Amino acid sequence: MPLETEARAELRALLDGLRPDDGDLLEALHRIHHRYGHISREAMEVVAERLRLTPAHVYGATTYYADFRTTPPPPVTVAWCSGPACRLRNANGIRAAFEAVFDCALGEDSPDGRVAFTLGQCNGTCEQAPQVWLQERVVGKLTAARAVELARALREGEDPETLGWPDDASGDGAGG
Amino acid sequence: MAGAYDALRERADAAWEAWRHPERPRIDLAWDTSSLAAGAGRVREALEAQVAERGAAVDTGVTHGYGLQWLQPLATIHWPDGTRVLYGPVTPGRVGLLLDEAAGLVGAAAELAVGVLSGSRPGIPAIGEHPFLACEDERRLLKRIGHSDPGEIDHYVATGGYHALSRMLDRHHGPDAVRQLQQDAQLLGKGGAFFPAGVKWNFLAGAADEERYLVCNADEGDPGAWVNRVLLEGDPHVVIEGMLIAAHATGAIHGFIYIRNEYPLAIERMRDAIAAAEEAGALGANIFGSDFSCTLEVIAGAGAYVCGEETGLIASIQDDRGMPRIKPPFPAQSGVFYKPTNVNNVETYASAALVLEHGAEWYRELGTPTNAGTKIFSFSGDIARTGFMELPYGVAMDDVIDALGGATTRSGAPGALKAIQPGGPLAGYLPAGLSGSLTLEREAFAEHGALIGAGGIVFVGEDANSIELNLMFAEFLEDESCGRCTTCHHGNQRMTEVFRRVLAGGGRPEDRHNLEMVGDALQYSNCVHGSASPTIMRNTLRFFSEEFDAHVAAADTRLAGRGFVRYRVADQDDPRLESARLICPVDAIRGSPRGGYTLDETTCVRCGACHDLAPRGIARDDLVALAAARAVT
Ligand SMILES: Cc1cc2nc3c(=O)[nH]c(=O)nc-3n(C[C@H](O)[C@H](O)[C@H](O)COP(=O)(O)O)c2cc1C
Ligand code: FES
Repeated sequence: MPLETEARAELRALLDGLRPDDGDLLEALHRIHHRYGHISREAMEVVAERLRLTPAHVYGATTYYADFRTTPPPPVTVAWCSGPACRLRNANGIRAAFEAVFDCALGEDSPDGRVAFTLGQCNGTCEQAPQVWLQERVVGKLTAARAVELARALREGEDPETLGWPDDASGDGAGG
Repeated sequence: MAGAYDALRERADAAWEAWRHPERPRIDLAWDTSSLAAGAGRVREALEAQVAERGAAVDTGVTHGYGLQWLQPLATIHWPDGTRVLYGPVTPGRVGLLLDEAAGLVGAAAELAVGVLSGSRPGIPAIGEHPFLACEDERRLLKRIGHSDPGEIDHYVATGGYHALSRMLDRHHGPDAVRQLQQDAQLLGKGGAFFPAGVKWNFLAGAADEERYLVCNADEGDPGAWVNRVLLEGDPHVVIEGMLIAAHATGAIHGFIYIRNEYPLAIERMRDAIAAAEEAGALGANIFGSDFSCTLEVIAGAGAYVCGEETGLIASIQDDRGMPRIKPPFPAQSGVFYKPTNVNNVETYASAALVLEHGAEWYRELGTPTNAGTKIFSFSGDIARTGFMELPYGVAMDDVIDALGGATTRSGAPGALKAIQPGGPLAGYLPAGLSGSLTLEREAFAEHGALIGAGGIVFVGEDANSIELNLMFAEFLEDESCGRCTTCHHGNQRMTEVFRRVLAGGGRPEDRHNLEMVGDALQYSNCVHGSASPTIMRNTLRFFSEEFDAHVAAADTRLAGRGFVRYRVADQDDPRLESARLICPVDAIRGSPRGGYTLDETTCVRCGACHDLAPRGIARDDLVALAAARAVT
């Protein structure tokens, strides 16, 4: 039996109500990810114990899904939309701009530990293309130049909450 | 038994009447994934602040957007006499106009008026006259979208919801009759494979085991498709009712609604709707006092495209890695927890509810003889109007393109389209020139070696690079391969490598053959993710042969793998060159306002930021086109 620690007790409480053989693994992983931003080795062990699976099984499932991290996340996440409408509006260039400023490749964290730059999937807000999600909020109608500015502001430590809002005066939806 | 439903209906009618004829004007903000992306959260804050500041006699509420997503944030003014007008884009700075209009200043928000949803208002056309909606017939699946509050079960019930379910439980329709009715309606699965729903339900009804499950496939992973999202967020109870009808018809006791994690609002709305339906006695034990019981739960996915494949989805539900497996056994033989299971798409269940409510003949009235009924489509890409609509199968693609605006199939004209990309990464890539012979139905696409898919259609402009798009899809397919079969996992890896090399400027004459061979091998994959992966590549080699060959012909070792896009200083006199120098994230531009700007190609990462700021001073060259031009002269 692994040592009972406060962290383990907290993890266990988080999994309250979840049962083996009930299709609860994804729910368990979501709860932990939501609370801690990642799924640690210890968390996998606790999940395994609760759902009567092996830790290897839980590890296999956790790492199968793109949305789960296994390391603590940086304070800021920028997810880049890889979908078709965005690609038709220079999403590849926008990706290159973020990579250059963050100094990391897509799927990595910036070396200064400030930003995670992740792969995002189209969620059907293609009227905003090209877009990224900044802390889960859509920042749309980007250009590579705006991407560079946004990325620089984030690396300089500006509060993401204040960045990337649509220009109030605009929004005169072309096309009528 | 009818009593339980009648009591619910009575309560609902009263609530609906109060909503439809509010005591004072109400502004209903569109509250959905699209409006939130356009900043609806800030609009609500601004609206509430102004209402408070003015002490305005106006209330606020919520609906789902109407489909005209390029006009988000959308909002509806709802007057006490029941008149409702749709406005957009309602930015935070414009909420004052809406408040003026709501308070009686006729015409204050006229510039934002999109159309009248109900009643009439001087000078504003009915919503149906909007050019975007020109191809729509009756809205059936979308009938409540934008016309009700999706968070209110009462709105669903008062507009006919759960009536078919209650009538069915009153024994007007036994399980066999319900299944037969779906067959008579010729309801085909909407998730892409067009399998007859009634026939699939027969498999489950005939299963040996008594413990049977339903799965609602709401994984909707095709980039460019958000058909299911609209129903989940805009009319969640119709999905529940459809599943209950299927459960009754097949003997299932529990259903899983598997929603992709990219749709947090849909997950929330479905969970709330399940709780509300349970509370109302429409879901759970002894539904509407009958002896029929069924429970539902939502499972949130976690970012895996192949979990949309039904056996992958089943694996994901039952705590395994979400990897598809070989069929048979089919889900009806061995599904969730190895119990007999029926998997249908969100829209299939919703359509089944409509069929039971209105009958098979009514369902077949719209559509074509082989593709009955209507389907929700989402349209995006190089068009003016991004959004969703509900169309009878069989509508002409040319008419759809007209409705979307800003695009034409005439090559060389402004807004000229190059290609039509239906149905996500497995479905196809057809030349826009075929549009005249394309109708929105399965056969029309199949004729050209493509699939229509689950309802997302992307329009690709003439300036786009088909090889780049192929690389994008190949990378997606490689990334999302579960890795179980070598053909799929290595085949897609190989396809990605070839496209990447061709685009980098290292194409070889044998690459066409390489790709064809990979396509042949991929066919032998265990699931359709692998076997359909080569579809877009094959369409491209067939219909965009010249474009592919031009990339191979332009191969040049001097490019050193940098590819065919080149930025260079084209005009030293552009005063914006200094800002271009400053924006470059890799300091590839040297010079000063006194002149002598240079751009170092070897440092440049081809982001295009400099060109965004100084489009005259910095040129973007397409080296494939330049090479082709050289070859001609
Ligand atoms: C790679 C892959 C992804 C799929 N994704 C989805 C999906 O997101 N939604 C869906 O309904 N069907 C999807 N399907 C099809 C399902 O396997 C299945 O045919 C469908 O859910 C059946 O429902 P229907 O008969 O109501 O269309 C996918 C298939 C494959 C091969
Ligand atoms: S492609 Fe980026 S939002 Fe759809």
